[in-house]
Amino acid sequence: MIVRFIRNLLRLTPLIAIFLIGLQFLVSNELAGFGRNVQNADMKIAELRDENEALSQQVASASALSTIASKAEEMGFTAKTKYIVIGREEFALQPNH
Amino acid sequence: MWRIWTIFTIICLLAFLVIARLFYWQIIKGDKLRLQASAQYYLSFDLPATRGTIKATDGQALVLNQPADLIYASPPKIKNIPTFAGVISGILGLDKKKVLADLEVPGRVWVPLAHKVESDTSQKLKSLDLAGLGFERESKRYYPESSMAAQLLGFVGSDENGRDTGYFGLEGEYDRELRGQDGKLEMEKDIKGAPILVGEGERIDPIDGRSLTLYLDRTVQFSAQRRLLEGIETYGAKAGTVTIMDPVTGGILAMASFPNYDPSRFTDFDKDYYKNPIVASAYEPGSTFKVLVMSAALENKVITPNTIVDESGPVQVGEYAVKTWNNEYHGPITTTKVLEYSSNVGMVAVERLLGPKKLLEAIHKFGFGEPTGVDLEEETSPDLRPDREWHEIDYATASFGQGIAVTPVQMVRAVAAIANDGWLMQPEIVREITDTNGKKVQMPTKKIRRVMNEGTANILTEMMVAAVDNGEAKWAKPKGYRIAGKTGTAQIPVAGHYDATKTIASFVGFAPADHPKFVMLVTLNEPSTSIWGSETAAPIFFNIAKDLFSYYGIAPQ
Repeated sequence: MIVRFIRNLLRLTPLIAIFLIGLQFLVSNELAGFGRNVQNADMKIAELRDENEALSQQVASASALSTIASKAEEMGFTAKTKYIVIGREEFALQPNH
Repeated sequence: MWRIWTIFTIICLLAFLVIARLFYWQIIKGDKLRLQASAQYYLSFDLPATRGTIKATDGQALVLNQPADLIYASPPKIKNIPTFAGVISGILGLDKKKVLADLEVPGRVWVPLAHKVESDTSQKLKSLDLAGLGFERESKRYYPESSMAAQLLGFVGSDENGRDTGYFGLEGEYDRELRGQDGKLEMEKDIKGAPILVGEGERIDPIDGRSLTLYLDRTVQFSAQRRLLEGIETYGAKAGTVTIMDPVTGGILAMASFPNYDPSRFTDFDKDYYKNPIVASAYEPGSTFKVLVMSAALENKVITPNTIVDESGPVQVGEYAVKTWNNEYHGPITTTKVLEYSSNVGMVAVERLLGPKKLLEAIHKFGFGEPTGVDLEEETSPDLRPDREWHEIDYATASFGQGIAVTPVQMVRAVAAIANDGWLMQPEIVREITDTNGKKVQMPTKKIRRVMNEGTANILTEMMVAAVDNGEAKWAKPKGYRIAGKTGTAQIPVAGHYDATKTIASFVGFAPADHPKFVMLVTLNEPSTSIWGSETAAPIFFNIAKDLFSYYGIAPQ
């Protein structure tokens, strides 16, 4: 039975070979045309990368301390602060010791 | 018979001609033709790597990339060259005559017009839809904080091959890590220029540059820069620096210096401004150096804070007389008072108790005369006079910080050892390096050596607190805080002698004294309103310190 199976397989081999060759032509033909899709995908990736960079730049610029300081000044905040330090000797109520 | 031979000869001749022609095309012209053919059916270009970013300690970018374009022209495709040149030079700000001359060179098919043109300008040019105008993607550095920490960051220029290369500062020091590795793509292409996936080809993906995260704190840097600029204007100084360091890790929290430059337009500035003076310029530290000599004397147990030294009048050192800065003398005083009065005479007495050998040992132990190893490209160190060439007067003047040259980073590192229980640390700018996959490498902090024991550091801290509380700068000190510090006023050597009217005013210190959060050195070059450190550098120090107390939420002690 195994011998018969092998014999049948050998008879079919040329057909299988022709089928596979035909399949290779089909796939290669399709893939040859896919190059344009790949190129378009690469261009899209580059575009998105540029957009990311541009957005990162905008975020960095908006969160820069110099930008925040200038906006704060426009809104009326001042940089000057006066620190008042209250020492123990200035308390009206003093501990005994 | 002769006919047969004639025909045979003719056939041989023809065959020889064919073989000769084949030899010409395949061997002599073979390489050129292969290249031409390759250009027709091969796509080949570099895949540039993206340069890494530089971030502050909070993760915000100090340096990142922005999209930009190389603008070029293809003269054969241009319809009207003079009009084209006029339009392009107007938008790009180029010399029209030069552009025209470049475009009219016979045989040129590709003419670069401008590099690293920003997106807005590129878009304007693209909207014109000019024939013969091309764009190639490039990357350009962007500095959201403008010129903040410019000398610490460095800039990116081009090397002799036109490749982006970092110069000075971090861009120079970490150029290899930041630049990454360009990739390459070679593929067969069809008649329309699209790649053929099943054809021959090779793709090497680019490896983007690594990113750096620094110890630098933007808020601390901003305060240092702002206060320094205010101080330079108020006190009429020519230049100034502020260096702020974490004494425990050696991490540099801020480095500000003026004059500085804008790294996005570095070609518009004098090249002298590119070097970071904090690591590359030497100065005589003056009285700030006294704390280090005092530490050596305490460490060698030749003095205590209450040891009495004589300050009755000027002290004779060989043929020279050493006086106090204000010609005031207090008779017998403690070594603590020596620092409070900033007495040169008192320091000579301390130096004599310490001895020349121990003094030199201490100077070397604190790392003077050699670079600190901070990760900035342009660090240098002024040379120390060889030990055998020191004379009596040199030891005396070194005891109060004259006749010896240091860089600001060497000075701040040495004083940081007092704040760090006696351990000398290596200053570090970069805290962490991250690759494109997100893998982080922490840069280890480096303990160099112990320069004094913890007890000595504590005693000296108290002496420095007394110097601030009772010294010449006490008027500027914020109330309620224990700050350890020392003023300095060093005359500038000019043509072999000291100019009495020109000084480097400085103040070095750390706070809070008991658990120091930062060590800071402020230097001012040639302040004109007053030559004294107590009246110029000290107020700047205390103003920054107040900002930092508020920022770090440090309550008065």
